[in-house]
Amino acid sequence: MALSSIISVIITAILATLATFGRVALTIILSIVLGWFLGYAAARNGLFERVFLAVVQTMEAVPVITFFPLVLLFFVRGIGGYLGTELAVDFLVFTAVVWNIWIGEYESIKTAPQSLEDVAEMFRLGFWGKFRRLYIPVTMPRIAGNVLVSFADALFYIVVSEVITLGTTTYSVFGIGALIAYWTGRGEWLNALVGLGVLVALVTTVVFGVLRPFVNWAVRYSYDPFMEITRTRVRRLIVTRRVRTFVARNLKYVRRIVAVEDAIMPVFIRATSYAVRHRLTIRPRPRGVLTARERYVSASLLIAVAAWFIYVVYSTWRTTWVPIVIDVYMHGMLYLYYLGLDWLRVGVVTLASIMTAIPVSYLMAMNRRAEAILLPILEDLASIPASAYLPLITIPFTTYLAKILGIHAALELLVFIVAYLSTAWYVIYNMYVGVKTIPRSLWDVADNLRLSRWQKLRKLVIPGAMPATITGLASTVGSTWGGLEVAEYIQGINGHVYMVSGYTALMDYYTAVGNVVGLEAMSLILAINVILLSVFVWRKLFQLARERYRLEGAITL
Amino acid sequence: MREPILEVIDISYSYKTERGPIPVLKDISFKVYQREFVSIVAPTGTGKTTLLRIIAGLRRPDSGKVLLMGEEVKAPTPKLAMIFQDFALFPWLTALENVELALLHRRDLSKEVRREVARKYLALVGLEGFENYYPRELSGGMKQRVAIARALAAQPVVLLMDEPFANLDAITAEGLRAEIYDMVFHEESTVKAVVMVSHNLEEVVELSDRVLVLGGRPARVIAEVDIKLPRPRNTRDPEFQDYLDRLYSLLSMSLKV
Ligand SMILES: Nc1ncnc2c1ncn2[C@@H]1O[C@H](COP(=O)(O)OP(=O)(O)O)[C@@H](O)[C@H]1O
Ligand SMILES: [Mg+2]
Repeated sequence: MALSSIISVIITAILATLATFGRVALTIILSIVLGWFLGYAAARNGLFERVFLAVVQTMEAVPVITFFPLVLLFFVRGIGGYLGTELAVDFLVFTAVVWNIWIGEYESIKTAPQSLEDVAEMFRLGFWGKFRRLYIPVTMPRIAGNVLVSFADALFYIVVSEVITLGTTTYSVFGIGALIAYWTGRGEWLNALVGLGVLVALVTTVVFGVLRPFVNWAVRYSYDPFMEITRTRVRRLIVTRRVRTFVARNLKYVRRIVAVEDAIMPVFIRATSYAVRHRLTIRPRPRGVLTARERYVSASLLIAVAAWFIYVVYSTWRTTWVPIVIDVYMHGMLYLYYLGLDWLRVGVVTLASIMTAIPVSYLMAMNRRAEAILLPILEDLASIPASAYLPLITIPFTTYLAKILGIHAALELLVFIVAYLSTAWYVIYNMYVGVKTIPRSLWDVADNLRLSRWQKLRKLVIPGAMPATITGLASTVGSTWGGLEVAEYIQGINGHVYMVSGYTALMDYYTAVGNVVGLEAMSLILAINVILLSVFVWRKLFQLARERYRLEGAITL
Repeated sequence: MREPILEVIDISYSYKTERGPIPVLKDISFKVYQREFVSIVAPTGTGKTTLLRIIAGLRRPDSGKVLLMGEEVKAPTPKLAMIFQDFALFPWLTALENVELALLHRRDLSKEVRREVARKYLALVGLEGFENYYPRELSGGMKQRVAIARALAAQPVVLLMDEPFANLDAITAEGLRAEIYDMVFHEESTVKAVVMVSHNLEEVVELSDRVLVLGGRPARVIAEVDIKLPRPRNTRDPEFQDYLDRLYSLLSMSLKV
């Protein structure tokens, strides 16, 4: 191929990646800004707080694919045109990242130090003054703790959603996901590879050039009044003698601490572990007590929101409401069977991720060298969306491996690998954060008692890392669902369609053939299923992690 | 009789919780006069911080009122500047910016003037050269100095201090204690009186003109002791020790009330 055409491919890929990044940035920033106001309102007003928490905590665990029919009907068909598709893509990504960010912001504002609020009142900073100088800054460490995951998540879903095929019509927006899909669809492998290369390069640039500096800057914002100095630069020569002796007295000790602190805690880890600790240990100030009247108001408000939501769903679906019920009635058992299959996959993938995470995080925690090499790779890999390289890794599975293993086993393996790749990084990352937050003194005790490697693993590493792992589990399961969504149904290679028996595969299939009724029915079932899970499983697990963590009170930095 | 600077009249307060109200303060009254340093002592958890926040106007009492120079305090005001147990420095602002916070409500001052004033107060507490340091780059003692500079920069009439030395190591606390009286009552200072809350009797005897002992649940004033020792005070002085003993017995009594 001519050089000029390679260059034009590279330039196109760069532009497309920038378009995709633009979407990611826009969605994340919009979520953050909205979250400040909502979080503030929730922290201030007991009524709003209860409604806000109920909605957000439930939505956090709902897989993005659930919103698919809503997006199709409202944006793609309702608004239509390029704008409609663009909004559809952005909205899908929004639903992937927003809940986590909002919870973090709300919890930060809710637990803003009382004394700082007092100072703001005392010096009459006014509403905007307080917002600017207090409530926005307090959210920064939690935002930083989430930013890597938000970025990776957003990228994953954006790459998937840039092309939406509904029946015979394909809607797409300009972006790297759409571009790679287009190239692979036409068998232009080299172009697809170049596109992927560009994406990887730019992701790496963003992770190390933008996110890392941001996190580095934001962790300064954590309020820890009794923590002693972490870093000090003498910014200019200090002149007066009185001050000089004062400095000399303090500075020697300052320098000593700086070095140690930077060596033990890489910055992303510090931010993430802050987020985990904050989430587990905050004891929110007692909520505003509600009077009986307020309690009625809040209950009716919650009911009103629920009713409104149901009405919205109902009214968009009105024309197909009866068919949906019929559809559920006819295919209900099949749907449940497929749902079971997919949960089984999610379980297997999660287990596999945990099994790999234990040795890797242990190795990284024990071995400085391994840590220095593995950590940046991990951070980078976590951000490269599996959905982007999926078309490429599919090829051996549908050709060579399909011949050896048979097509079913080969596809099943592919699904497992893709779901695993969309999940494992986060599990490893969370667990590693957990291991890192085990206090030095406990390691010392373990050495002192001459525990063997295996005993240390069982008595110290695994229990110590569990709270952080469990806290992350609700969102890693979301990522596993994302992996299933893209891998269970693969369309467009040599015009073939490959699918396994699974819930998301069927949803994808329904989308592709334009069976909106079936799609809506399935999304409804999934939503109910996940909400029940969130209420009965995740919250319980989270509570357990929290108590466990508190019991082990020693686990602080 | 002199006019009191600060009058606390029959303050009662209870926290409203899910399990019903918890009474914390009951009928607390006292007066503070010109150039007086008054301390309130009680064991932890008695309600000292709550009382101080009520005086500062940060919380409304259930009953009773607070008068500052004859006027009722109804809302937080820089005239009643408070120094907090945890220093309450904004971690995202430098030492200088933290002090400037106290001047933001003064719309009559330009940005440059505010900066200059803030600088002056930082110098007063001995932190010249540390203007651009962030709180986390300062040691505990230095942080508390910034907090003192900030409170003084607000040009308050009454300075409220909530256990200002409790979170400093013993040596740093001792150093700061020796300096604080002169910082607060320096020649140009607007501060007319100080109310300090503490559970450390030594610092109370070292600094105060008068001591109120709180006790019981809900807490009331159970004793009042005037400390008539010349300044600067020496902790090894036998008279100093007498005051300490007396306060100790009062405090242990307060636990039984
Ligand atoms: N927001 C609150 N809600 C309910 N009870 C509180 C709250 N803040 C403090 N208390 C209770 O009021 C009592 C007095 O608290 P505080 O004024 O902080 O005491 P002190 O400063 O003397 O240690 C304590 O027993 C505490 O448990
Ligand atoms: Mg207190």
